[in-house]
Amino acid sequence: MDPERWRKVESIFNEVLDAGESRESVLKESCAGDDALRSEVESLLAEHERAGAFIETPAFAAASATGPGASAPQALDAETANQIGVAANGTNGLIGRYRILRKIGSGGMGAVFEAEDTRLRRRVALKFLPEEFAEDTQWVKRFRAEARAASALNHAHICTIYEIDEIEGRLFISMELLEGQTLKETIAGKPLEVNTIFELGVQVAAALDAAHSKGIVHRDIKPANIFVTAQRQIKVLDFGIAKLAKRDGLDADSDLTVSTLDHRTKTGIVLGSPGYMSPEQVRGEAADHRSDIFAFGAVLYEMLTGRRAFEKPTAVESMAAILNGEPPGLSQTGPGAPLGLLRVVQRCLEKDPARRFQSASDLGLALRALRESGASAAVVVPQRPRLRWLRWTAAGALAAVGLAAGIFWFFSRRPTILGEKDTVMLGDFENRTGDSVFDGTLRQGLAVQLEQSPFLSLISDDRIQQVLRMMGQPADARLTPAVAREVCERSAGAAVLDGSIAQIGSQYLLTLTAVNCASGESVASTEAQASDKNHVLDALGKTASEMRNKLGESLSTVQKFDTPLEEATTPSLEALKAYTAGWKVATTVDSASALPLYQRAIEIDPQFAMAHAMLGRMYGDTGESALAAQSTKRAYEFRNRASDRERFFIVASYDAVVTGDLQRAGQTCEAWEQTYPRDVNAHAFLSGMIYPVLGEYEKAVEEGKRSVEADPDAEFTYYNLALSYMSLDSLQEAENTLKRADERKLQSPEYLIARYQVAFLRSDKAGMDRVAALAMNVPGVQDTVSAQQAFALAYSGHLQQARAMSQRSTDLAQQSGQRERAAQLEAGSAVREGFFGDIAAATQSAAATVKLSTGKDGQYGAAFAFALAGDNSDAQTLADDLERRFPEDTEVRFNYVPAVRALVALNQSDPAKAIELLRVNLPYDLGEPSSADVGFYGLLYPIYVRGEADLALHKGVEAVTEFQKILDHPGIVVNDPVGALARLQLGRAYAMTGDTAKAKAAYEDFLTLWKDADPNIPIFIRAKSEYAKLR
Amino acid sequence: MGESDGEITQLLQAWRGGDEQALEKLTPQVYRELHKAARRAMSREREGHTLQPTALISELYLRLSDLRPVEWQNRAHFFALCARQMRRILTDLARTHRSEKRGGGAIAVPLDEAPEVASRSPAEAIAVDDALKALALVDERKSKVVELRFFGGLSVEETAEVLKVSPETVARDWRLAKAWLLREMKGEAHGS
Repeated sequence: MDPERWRKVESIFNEVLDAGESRESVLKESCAGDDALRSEVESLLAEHERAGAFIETPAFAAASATGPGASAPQALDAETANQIGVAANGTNGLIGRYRILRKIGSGGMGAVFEAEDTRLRRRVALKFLPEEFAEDTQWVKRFRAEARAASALNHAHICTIYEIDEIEGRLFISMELLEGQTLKETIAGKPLEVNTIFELGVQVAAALDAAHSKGIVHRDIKPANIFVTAQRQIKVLDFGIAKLAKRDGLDADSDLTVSTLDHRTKTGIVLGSPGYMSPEQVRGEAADHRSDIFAFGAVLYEMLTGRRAFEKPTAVESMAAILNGEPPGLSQTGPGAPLGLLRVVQRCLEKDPARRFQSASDLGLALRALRESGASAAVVVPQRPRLRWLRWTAAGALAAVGLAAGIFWFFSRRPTILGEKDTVMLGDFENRTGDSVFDGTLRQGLAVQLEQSPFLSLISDDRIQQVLRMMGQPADARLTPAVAREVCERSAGAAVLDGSIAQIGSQYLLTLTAVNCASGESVASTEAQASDKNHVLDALGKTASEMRNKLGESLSTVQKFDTPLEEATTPSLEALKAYTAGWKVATTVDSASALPLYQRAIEIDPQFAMAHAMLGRMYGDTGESALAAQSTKRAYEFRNRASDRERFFIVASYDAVVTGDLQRAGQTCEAWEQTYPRDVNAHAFLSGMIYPVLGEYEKAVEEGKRSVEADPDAEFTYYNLALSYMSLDSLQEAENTLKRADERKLQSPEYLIARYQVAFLRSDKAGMDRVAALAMNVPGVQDTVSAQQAFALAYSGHLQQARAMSQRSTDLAQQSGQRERAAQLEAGSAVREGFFGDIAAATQSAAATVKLSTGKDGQYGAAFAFALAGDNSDAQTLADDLERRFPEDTEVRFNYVPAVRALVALNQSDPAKAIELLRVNLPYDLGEPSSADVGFYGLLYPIYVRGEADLALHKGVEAVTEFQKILDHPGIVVNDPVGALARLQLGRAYAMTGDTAKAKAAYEDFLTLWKDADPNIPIFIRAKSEYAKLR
Repeated sequence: MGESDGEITQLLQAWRGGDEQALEKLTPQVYRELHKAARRAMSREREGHTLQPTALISELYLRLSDLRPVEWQNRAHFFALCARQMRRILTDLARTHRSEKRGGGAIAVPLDEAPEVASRSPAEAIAVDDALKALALVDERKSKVVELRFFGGLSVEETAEVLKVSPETVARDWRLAKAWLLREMKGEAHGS
């Protein structure tokens, strides 16, 4: 055969075998009409099928390697025939069509023989079930059914069942003959290497997945039922039937099965324990595939530690441990045990099936992801999300602005990094001298030594204790390398220093190793010798100095890296890839473009909590708060699948976005920032989403400063800070903040909004125009800048132009498919028309708003506009609906609904009730609700309505106070219509108090502002007529 | 140890020092040693002891070489060399055995026959050896894989190391080679 042809044969042969169930189609496709080729491949495939144990045993090897627990080969003598319980057929040793070659094992299910199937000419393993089994016809029926189902499993890692039959009334199974040993023998009480665990574990998971997907549950996964062939191929034995073979009394322990010789054969008593049963199995409840996952977790634990997960002296104690206990030392299995793997084991061993991996394929993905990430990191998520969440919604699409600087986007295995602010964790010294004087003292000495360093900062003992508690460890737990590393990761530290001391004769040897706590790689090590005990501290000082040097050197050469491993979020590498890509797109392109990537991540791993959270965030950025709430809610449901830090993020988002309970969100954020002081997100939440709504601008500025400090390269922090300064009327500080962002070459379309508003507040017409012109080229912000222009125009009574601008703004949002954003922009128009007195226009816009979206901000705007237009019924309906849908929402409860209802009460000539309704708003009356973020309306409306109620009650003085309050806070109001109208209302209020001069001044103030106003605006006409009457 | 031990040790050291030819010069010595070891092992087998080829070769290697710990790569190459010798030894032994036992040679050996090493495996070994020669003409590497695995008793990883390919490649080669050999052997049995 020519080489090319042979290569073709080879490649098709391999392809077909790797194709699994789709063999036929692969064969057909690859051979494509070449019959000779096909027949060549098929003949090889046929041989492959019957190859069995052919030459698997090396030529020289004794036959002893042929089977698990094999004994010396035997002919089918009388004894064997007796064991099987059948008569050997004639002299040729045939039983049925099988020629028994030798006995290779025995176990709870009976004897196992190597045999030749004379008809199919292949070697097989024959298991004969004990006679007692056959007596129970019900059981036999069930056994046959199970075995038949299992025999349909055709998988590389499942031992194939060829046949179930009986000979002379004896039930037997004919199955694939294997060579190698069981996993139990492989482990043999010693931990396996991590790479081996991955190699074998992935195969077991694949086998489970294949069986589970066919509805077959093993029910008795344990090392003795997992076979490792000479080629290190896993073969899972006895699917579906192992447990069936254990009827009461016959095999009460779970340790004996078909293919293994076990304790019982040696000791004559049952020693086994139900060490691999799941809690639900122990309780005698129905066990589904997740029981296999639990059992597999116990097996992984055993591979990792060499010990049984639930090893106890008695079966009862084992069962108790399964129900209530944790396997010992899951978090401190030694430096070789990667944290990620431990987490996988923990997750498998969850008592509640719903909290385990929900499928073996998930589990397999987790193992593969771990293996691919260098076996050390679980999954790596960038620590500092460079999200732009602004005031939750304000962000629009980001034009491709240059954000190249400082974008994190990496997976794993990046080099170590110690930066100026990186912290170092000190582990306890391993004291191999046996002299207790060194316990604790060396660590302390090292701490003193290292703290002299200007650039090394140590994770404080307070912090360590706090983290240990979070890890469920006592505060004084020994800081073994594994524990120290976890503490380090959880504290976002960069490296762990592990030390050891050993005695060699009269000398002492001290070693220090710095380990990158994210990757587990050793980044530096030093050692020093002390001639005697008295010189140990000297040596310690020397080695510490040397370590400082080494770390210092590496400081300058390595790049920034602080991705704590703790941020484990998904077991799927694929999902993580999509997630990370989403991140990159969100930070470099825009939030809208990142949406499909996060959606993809969720498709792959539907329980990927952080992907849901980020999807929610992206929706929020694009103004789709309803969708944002939906995704955030999903994230909250899966919040247990996230790190502590991520959970803070998710829970805070949930309260900020779903329930709207900002008090609770604030509490979460406060705990969050205490735990992770350097996490920019906690500060950003407080400064951008919580304090402004509560009207606590000083605090917002404080948090804004901290967020900028925590991440000077996050552009949204500057935006939030600038807005907070603006709200405090510190325009200069607001401008300086934006300038600082500029200096750092940070750009964000939202900066244009802030700049426009500052220019507006400075009455800088040229500045406003400049920003508007800039915005023309920035897609994501055109609609909102247009809306700003509309509000600015309306502020001076240019209603016709404002309407045109608003129309443009709403159209732009609609064109980009952002319905909720469009709704909020439409609501802005509705409210404005209501204030200005065009009832028809207000009603029309309000109705259009409701049609566009049911988002709460838009709906509030519509309700308020209906109320302004005198449509009490629609206003009430919408308010009721808001109250029903957002019962815990701070804005809805304390701002939106009271304002709408108060307005309705006013319409019903019940101003006292209006005042009463607005009482709940008093603590937050200066707050900026989220309706102001995109729609730019809703600013200080409760105050405005209260002023109107005061007027209706003829309380001029009180009314003056309210309207003056609005005028005193231009930085909050900016260009909301109430800013202009408050002047007129102030005039009315003064007129009521009898202070005509002040009333006149106020009216004039308004009329000056509206000197070029469109003449036919109802409120303008009224204002002029009232002013005329004042004279 | 025999009188050639000194020379063998010298050759091993030269080889370890980078002299590739030294390995080839080792061949006759290694053959002699393995042959002795094989006979010894077979007698042990009769007493109920077993010995794997790898163990055999390791034992030999360690005995011959005073260099410990043994470097993995050198070990692998030494094993490869041994595998070739083992193939010769085993097929020679089996052929002798067969000629002594008229009517033998079939792969399936009656169950009441003497120990496996003396019966089934060598019989199989001859058939495999013949088929392997044919395979070498079609696919040299696959025949190498079988030689190393079946005659040398090398693991997949060790084979991969010797052949400088990945373990996956070895596993695939092994799979196809087995099928090919089985077909070849069947063809021979039918006289085609």
